[in-house]
Amino acid sequence: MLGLPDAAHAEYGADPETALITPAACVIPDDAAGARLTGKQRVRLTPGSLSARVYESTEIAAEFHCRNELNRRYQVLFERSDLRVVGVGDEGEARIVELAGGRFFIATLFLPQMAVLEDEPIPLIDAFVGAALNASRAKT
Amino acid sequence: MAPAARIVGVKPVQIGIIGDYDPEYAMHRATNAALEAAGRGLDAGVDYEWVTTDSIAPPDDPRRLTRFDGLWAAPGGPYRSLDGALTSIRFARERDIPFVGT
Repeated sequence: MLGLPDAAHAEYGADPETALITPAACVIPDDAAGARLTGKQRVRLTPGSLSARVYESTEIAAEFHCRNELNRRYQVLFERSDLRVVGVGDEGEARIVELAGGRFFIATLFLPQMAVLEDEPIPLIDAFVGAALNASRAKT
Repeated sequence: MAPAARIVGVKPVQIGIIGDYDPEYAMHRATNAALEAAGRGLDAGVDYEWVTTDSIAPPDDPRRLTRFDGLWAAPGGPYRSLDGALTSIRFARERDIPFVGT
C-alpha cells in the first residue's frame, strides 16, 4: 500500500527504529482490565476530509489509549498513497488516517468507542453504522 | 439490548468485528456498546459478531466476510494473528466494505 518492503509492527518483534508502527512516545494511561482512562488529546482534522465531515468539526478531543503509533519517519509515505493522514495530535503525530476517494475507510489511533462509557455520542461509529446500513440496502 | 423500535421486515445491519474478544477488556465491551448505541441512534437493528483473527488468516478464506455490511478492526493487540487482521483490512478495502479501525 505504501511501497514499504517490510512494513512491520514493533509489538510483533520488529526493530522499533524502522518498524511502521512503533511504541507511542506519549505517556499512556494504565490499560489493565478496565482501568479508568485519564485525559484526552486534542486531534486536529483536515478540513474537507471524511473524518472532519463525520465529526462536523476540525478539532476533537480523543481518548488516546494505545501503546503504539505510526513511525513518523514514514508519515510522509502516506502523502504518496491514497491513504491520508487527516487527524494529527499537537506534535503532528498521526491520529486518524482515511482512504481518499469517498469510501468509508477510517482508522484511528485512539479509541472513540470509550466515549460510550460516558454516554457521549460517538460520531465516527454512528457514521460507520450508517455507511454499513447504506451498503446493506444497496445489496438488496 | 435490542433497539426499542425496528422497522418490521428490515434486516438488521451486519457488522463484523475483527479481533480476539476478551470480556475483561473495557475497550472490547465498549466496542459492543458503541454499536448498540449507534443502532439506537439510527433506529436500526445492528447485529454484530466478533471474528477471531486466527480464523481468517491464510489458508482460511476471507470471503466469508462478505456477509458483513461493515467491518470494524478492534483494538487490543497483539492480535492472535496479525496476518488475519491484515487480510480482513485488505478485504474491506478491496471489496469497498465500510471499514473502521480503532
